[in-house]
This record gives sequence, C-alpha cells and structure tokens, in this order.
Amino acid sequence: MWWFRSKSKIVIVLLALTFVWAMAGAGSAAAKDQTDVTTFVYDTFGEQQSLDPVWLFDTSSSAVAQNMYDALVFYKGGTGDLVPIVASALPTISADNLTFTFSIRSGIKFHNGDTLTPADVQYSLLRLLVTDRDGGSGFIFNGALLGVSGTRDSSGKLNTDLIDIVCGYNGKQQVVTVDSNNVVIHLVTAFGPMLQTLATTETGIVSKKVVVDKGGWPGCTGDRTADVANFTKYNNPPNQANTELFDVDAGSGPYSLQNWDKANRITTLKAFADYWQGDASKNGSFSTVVYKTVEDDTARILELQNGATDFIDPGTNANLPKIYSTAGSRTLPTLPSLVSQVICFNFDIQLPGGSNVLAGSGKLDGNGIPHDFFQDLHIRKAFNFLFDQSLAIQRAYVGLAQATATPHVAGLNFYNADQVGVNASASIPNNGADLNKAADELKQAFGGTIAAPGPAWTSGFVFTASYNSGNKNRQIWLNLLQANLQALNDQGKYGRHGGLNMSVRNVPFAQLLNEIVDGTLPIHTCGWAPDYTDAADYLLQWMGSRAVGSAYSGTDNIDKLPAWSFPGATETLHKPYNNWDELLMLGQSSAAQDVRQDVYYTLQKLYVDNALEITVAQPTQPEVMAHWLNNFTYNVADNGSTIGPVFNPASERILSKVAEGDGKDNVCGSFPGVASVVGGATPAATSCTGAAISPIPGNQ
Amino acid sequence: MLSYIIRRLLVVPVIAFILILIVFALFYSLPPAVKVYAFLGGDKPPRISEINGLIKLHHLDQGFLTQFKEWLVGFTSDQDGKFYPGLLQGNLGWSVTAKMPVSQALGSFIPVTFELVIFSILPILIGGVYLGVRAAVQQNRILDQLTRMMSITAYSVPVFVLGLVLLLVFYGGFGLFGTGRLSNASNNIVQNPALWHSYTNMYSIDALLNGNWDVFWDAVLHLILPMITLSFVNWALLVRITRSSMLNTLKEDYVNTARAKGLKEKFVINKHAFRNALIPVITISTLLIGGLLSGLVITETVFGIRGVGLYFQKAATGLDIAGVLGFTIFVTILWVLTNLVADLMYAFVDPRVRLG
Repeated sequence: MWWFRSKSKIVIVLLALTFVWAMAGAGSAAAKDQTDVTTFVYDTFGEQQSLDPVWLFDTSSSAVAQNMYDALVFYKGGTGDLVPIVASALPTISADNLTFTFSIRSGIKFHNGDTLTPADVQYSLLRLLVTDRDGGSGFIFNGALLGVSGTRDSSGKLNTDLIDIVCGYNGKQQVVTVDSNNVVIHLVTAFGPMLQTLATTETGIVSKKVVVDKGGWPGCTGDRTADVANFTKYNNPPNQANTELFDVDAGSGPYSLQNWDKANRITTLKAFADYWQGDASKNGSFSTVVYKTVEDDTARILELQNGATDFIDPGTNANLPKIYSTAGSRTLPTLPSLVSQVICFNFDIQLPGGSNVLAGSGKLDGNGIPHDFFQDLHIRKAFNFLFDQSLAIQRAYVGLAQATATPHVAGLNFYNADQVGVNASASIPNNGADLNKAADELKQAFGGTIAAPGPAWTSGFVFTASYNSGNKNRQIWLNLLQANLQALNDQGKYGRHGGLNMSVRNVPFAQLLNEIVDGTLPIHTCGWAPDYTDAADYLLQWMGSRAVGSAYSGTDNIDKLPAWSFPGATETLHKPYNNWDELLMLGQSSAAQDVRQDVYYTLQKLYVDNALEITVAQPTQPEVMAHWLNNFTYNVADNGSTIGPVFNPASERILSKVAEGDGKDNVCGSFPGVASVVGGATPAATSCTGAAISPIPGNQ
Repeated sequence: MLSYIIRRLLVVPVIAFILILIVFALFYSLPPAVKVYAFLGGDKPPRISEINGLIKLHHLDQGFLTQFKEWLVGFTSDQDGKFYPGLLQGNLGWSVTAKMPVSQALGSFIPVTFELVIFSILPILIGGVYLGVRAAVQQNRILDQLTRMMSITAYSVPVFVLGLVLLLVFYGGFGLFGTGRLSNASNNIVQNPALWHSYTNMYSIDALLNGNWDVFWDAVLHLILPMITLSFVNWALLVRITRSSMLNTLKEDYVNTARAKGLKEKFVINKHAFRNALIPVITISTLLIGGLLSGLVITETVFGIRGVGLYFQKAATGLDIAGVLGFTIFVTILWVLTNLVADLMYAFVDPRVRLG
C-alpha cells in the first residue's frame, strides 16, 4: 500500500501548492484592476448597435461614439449652456432664425492624421440628411432643414426632389454651405432647439475621405442626375452593417477606436495623441476607455466591488439596496432625468407569409394575433387597464420614479401636469390595474359588445412581448402585464375561451432595435432620452409619422394605419395622420408660446384618448460608480446621459480616477430645464462640490 | 480490431445523417417567411416586400426532399443563376443574436467553450476515476465516506447555485478570481492588435503562443471558478460509478486469484481490476459530455463567459431560430463523435468487444 500513500502525499502537496498559487495570483489579478488609474471601464447590459453617427440613435451607441466624434457644439458641464467644440465660436444667427453661421476651428486632426476642414463639416451634416434611415434620427432634422417630415413618402418612395435642397439645384438654397472657413446652415423653417440638435452624437463630424474610401456617399458632385442616383443608393440603408462607419473610426474626438470585439462584446478606445484639446492620457484623464457588456446584474455589481469596473448600469433600481451595501461604490439614485419609459404597441405587425413567430398564426384564432390587432382602440385600452403603473414603479424603480400620463415628461416645457392617464381613476399618479375594465374592453374589441363579446374574447390570442436583455426594469413591466393578463384569463366569470396569452422574451438591445424597425414585434419596451430639451423632441418622436414610436414601429407601414381620425379626436385633428405631422410641425416651428402650449396639450390629450401606448414612468437616473471616480458630470440634456464624454475640457469634462478615492462628492451638474425633481435629495451644484460624501439614506 | 473500427466509422455518417434529417424536419416545419428571416439575414436582411420573391428564389415553398437536398448541399438558383451554399459548405444561416453567420458565431464561441472544457474535463476524469478507485479500495474507510459524502453533496447542488455561491464567496467575499475571461489589464493587451495576435481564441493557449505569461496566468485564474462549477457535479457522478464498478470487479474470482498468487496490490488493482472496471466508466464519461454541455449554458451565463453555451441561451431566449438549429447540429455532431470515441475505447479496453 505504500504506493498509494506516497502518491497521495504528492497529490496533496501539489494541490496545496496549486491552491496557494491560485489564491495569490487571483488576489494580485484583482488588485491590478483596482489600481489601474489609466483605464476607465464601464459595465453595461446594452451594447452599441453601430458606431456610425448617421445610423446610431440609441444611448448605448451614443455613449461610445461621443468619445470618438466631436460635434460643432456641446453642453458645458451639467448645464444647458452650449460651448463651441469643432466650431471656434457659437454661431451667428440671422434675425429670422433661419441662418446659422459657424466658423470652424483650425488645427483639428482626424484620427487618421488628416486635418478637419469645413468641407468635412458640411459633408457630415449632408450625409445625415441623405441617409435618413428608418428608425433613425432623421425626423429631428428633416423638418427644419428639408421642410419635410421624412425623405420618403408613406409608401417608402424617396422624394428625389430633395436633392435640390441637399446639393443646391434648380435655384434652391443648399441646406449646408461652406463659405471660406465658415459653415452655414440654412433652415427651411425656424426651429428653436436647432443649436441643441447640433450637440447630438448623430451630428458628429466625420472624415469625408474615410467614408468615401470605404465606398460611402461621395457628396454632392455637381451633376444632379448622378446625385439623385447616389441619394437613392445611400438613403435608408437596410442594416447598420451597411453603413461605412459601422465599426470604423472616422472621427476627431478625444478617443479613437482600438477594437470592437463583437464576440466578447468589449469595445476599447485609446486616447488620441493629437486631439486638439490635448492627449486625454496626459491631461488628467484616461489612456484607455473600455465599454463591456455584462448582462448579469450580480456580475456587474461584483465587478464594481472588486475594482474591475468603474461605472455600472444597476439594471434595476431594485438592485440599489444591494449596491448601497457594496464596498467602494457610490450611488446617486435620485438624479432627475428626462427619460420616459413606455410599452409600445405595433399598429401593423409585419407577418411575412401570413405569420411570424412572435404573433403566432397571424389570425385571431386563439393561436396568434392579426397584423392589425393593436389598431383596435379597445385592445389598446384593455392592455392599459391590465398594466398596474403604480406597482411597476414600486417593483422596478423602488418608488424612485414619477407616474406620467404620456411619454412627455415632467420638467420639459408644455408638460401638462393635469393630463390624466388612460386608466387613472381619480388622478395621476394612481394608475392601478382594473381587470374588470380590461375584460370589458377586450369583449368590445373587433366588433364585439359586452353582451356579445367579439373574437378577441371568445377565441383568445397568443403573442410574444420583447424587451432588451439585461434590462430588469423592463422585464418587470412585462411580467406585471403578463401576470394580470393571466389573472384575467383565469377568472372564470369572464367565460372560458382559447386563453389570453402573452409570453415574454428578451433579445440583445441591437437586435431589439432592428426588430422594431422591421415591424415584427407585437409589443416591445421603449424608452426615450432627450436629443434636446424641448417638447418637440418627445411628442414628435412618439406621434410623428417618421418617428420610431409605437404606432410607427416599422415606418414603412404608415399608410396601412387605417384611421388616424381616432374616436374622440378634436375637430382640428379629425383628419388623416399627416395632420398629426402638421400639428407637430406647428408646435416645432411656432414662436408663439400660447400656440405651442395648445398644440402640445392637445397632443398629450390625443395620446391618452387613443391609448397609443402604455406609459410606464419617468424614472430618476441612478448613477452607480466606484468611489475613486473623479469629476463625474451629469447632464439631463445629453442623450448619452448615462456617462457622457469622458474627456472634453471645453465642455468641462475631464473624468479621472484616483487610486484610493478621495472620499469627496465629485458630481457636477445643474440639470437645466428640469422644473420638478423627482424624489429625494438631488445634487444641485453647478460644479463639483468637493464635499465629503455623506451617507445615502438606506445605505446602512 | 481494424474491421471493428471501420464498421464503427462507417456507421457514423449514417447516424449523423439521420440526426441532421431530424433537425431539418424541425426547420422544415417553419413557415417559409420565417425561414427567409432565419437563413437569409446578414448584411442585407430582406425587406418585407422582398419576402415572396426570396421564398421563390430559394425554393422554400418546395417539397421536403427538395428543400432538404438544397439545404444540405446548396443549389444553383434557376432565377439568378447564383450558387447558394448549403450545410456542407458551412452555411447554417444568419444569427440575429450574434449578428453574424451562425457558422462564424460557432467558430468564435466554440474555442471559448473548448478551453473551459479542456480545463474541466481533466479534473473530472483524473480526479473522478482516481478517487473512485481509491474509495473502492478503501471501502467504508474515512476516504470512502468522505468521497461518498462529497459526491452526494455535489450531485445535489444545482450548477447555477454552485456557480453563484462560488462567485459570491470567492469574488464577492474575498476579491479572488473574477468574472468574464480576463482582468482589465489583460483585456487591454488582447484588445490591442499591436500587442496580441489571436490564433485560437482560447486565451490561455494564445497567451503561450504570444509568449505572454501574465495573460496566461490571468486566463487560467479566470477559468478556475467556472471549471470548479462545471466539474463538481460531473466529477461526483464519475466517482460514484467508478467506485461501484471497482467494487464489483474487486469481488471477481480472478482478482482473488491474482491476490492468492501473491501479486502486489497495486498490480492487482491497476492491471487486473481497474481495466475491467473501465467499461461503465467509459460509458459515463461520454455521457458526461451531455452533462457538460447543459452545465455550460448555466456556467457561462453565471460567469459571463461568451462561449457556445451562453450563445445558445441567448439564441433560445431570443427566438434566434438559425442559432438554435446551428447549436443543435453542433451538439448532434459532438454526440456522434463522442459515442464513436467511446466505442473505440470499449474495443481498446475489452477484447470481447472488438472480437465479438
């Protein structure tokens, strides 16, 4: 037996040595992360869809691209004031508010070493207008710059005459021109927030040479026929991978793209040595910025605790108590936000070949839903009555959110605080579920009555709702909706039938965005962060014919929406959908505040009367970061508001970290335009307070 | 022996064909338009208006056999004259969750999983068999009791519970190891094309090929908790099977005869008993592949490792049909191959198999 005994000893010794080595190595690996002050790591559950400014239109993409591309202007610190970035000064604006003249800063280098010129600025803005993809940011600019809601009509046919404005043919004024070192933007109609829209990532300045070398839009050639052909070719690309800068860097921003590892979902940016404001790594910020997709909440929180990340998405406010107790973290849960969260209906579900896996059979036969299921007002109302808004706010946001009646948010201009929601029994925010009303609405859908229920009630239905992976808040909303539908289904008093069934699925964020544009999702979760702090941005998005909001999921389908003269619409609005656009254009372009108020109050009422979506909440923004993070700036107006640009001294942003943490409250911000702050104490400083961090309530 | 191996090898493609036929039957049952989305996505996903044309172009409205043949070997379209590759040319469709062709996704994720399996399978096999033999030899003594207790415990603990507990205790409690595949410091290296060349997409192997020991240790350290999670349950099963098989063998007359002849105990165990006890151990070892795969889905999810298990989980929850079918084909082929290995090993350890 000696053989076994000696072997055992050897094995035990080896195992012990391995254990000691592993523990020592594991500890040193963790320590290495924590002390690396040159790298900033952001753990998020989302992943960018594209890095091309003309495609991106989501906060995940924007957060990365903001560091690669500079725009003409950007916000100063946490304020609503704009400062010139690529422009050398704020523009001179004509008396009629139709002409914006920017002088372009000299000496700016692109990441490939070329010098940024006014022609690049002109090209970047024109390329945005030419591309105008479905579900993109085009609707923000089209009205003011082209005088139309979109470059395509409701059937998807391109309005090629717009090339006259884009390139300046047939006596038309070209929309963006170059005059020596100036770039001049000529608006078709006045647009109050115009300057703010030029602070968005979508207007980031790209190198024309890089785009053209990649086979992109060649710019205006002087040959109208050729330009029309190019307009047709490059308008509304079918997929983000079809745009030239999907994963290619053509920027001049503080960081250049080092690698987008799509398999491991890690995006790495390196400080640009020739950045016009200096190399970030030598000017108090980071040499490397890393965006990691980590979908599991626990993993993100543990990484924060262990110094493997500096900033995380908490996933849901319900995680905040857990994060409070996490050593080394600093959590600011009650920052005001202008984000609105809703559950969107698709008014015309795309059923290629008659069905799709999310809408089942495509018929109201108990095994699916038809394409026009949510065109029925009773169905939309029923789902509103099934949704317990108050409970959702408690469960998902631990109460740190405000119930709103529409996606128009408190704090923005023309927010009607008296507007009640679809299922508000007495007043906002007490919007609980009402199963009896939901049942009555379902019975009346598709030609039924309460006494003689229609097929939605007698046959039942099946479909799948979708949310983006890792977003626990949205999972909670859909699960609450699902539970109440099931409760209704289980109540025998409403009669037995094929069943009222909604399942819930999650897909990566980028996939969800693609499917929204494809129009295949029956119900999906939506959210909106500001492109600019004005009512126009919100109601245009949710109710405009070229927007990506619920009714227009899949903008190819606008003409299939049968009745925009909804029951209950006022006389002024008792017209087809394009009058909604006209109304929105009126609100956007009018200088008269009383007219704008009338318009936006009417739109909010129309939204509720027609139960366009299920409004969930206006949540506060919880910012969760490591305590060693220094000089974090929060700005509600910035559409990449989660973190914003890491390094941009002109806009007072130099994010850094100190090895041990200075124990000070380094959050800057003044939250412009926010009249009502939702819940709790909110830092209201206009600059970093430098005060010692005080315990957060509940952080005990 | 040779004829046995040839017979086994000849059966493999037949079994694989039948299994793939079953997988295709699942695909065939989908509506044509869904098939268009599932297989014809990519850089230019179809517009709604193009669906009917694509169904005609790709013969997705044809009969079962026609579609199966074309799905398998590809076809030249009678409408545009282009050749569209099939399964045998590596075309598994477009994965909407991975945003790349399924074949490319599998190519990216399989090495990640393979690295984890390599690190897990060795402790399972070596530790499981060794402890099983030791427990049988020392039946009812302390080691046997401890092994039994540990294996029952291990078999009772769900993989996700074990993974989360390990993560919370070691990483959350002591700051040891970590999530994902590498620390930030190592990630900074592997994400920099100037410092890193990816040969296999297995960081531990690539680190050796790049001559970077820091990344190697880091990659190994990040594998330890997932490896323990993945190994523990499977190890327990192997211990129990090996132990009971050895116990039965040790009671055989030929073992008593060997001892009576005065052979040393290690020769009795190693040469006479162990080899004969191996048959059920080999069977279980191949079954463990299935256990590993199911455990991988959970382990990779808990630890945030972007391997084929996590990919499958995303594909399944995201209704990524092409992704799920691609994974199914991968698993199918894996099972066929592991069974082949098991058959060959039977023949190697047991003459009755190859002669019979």
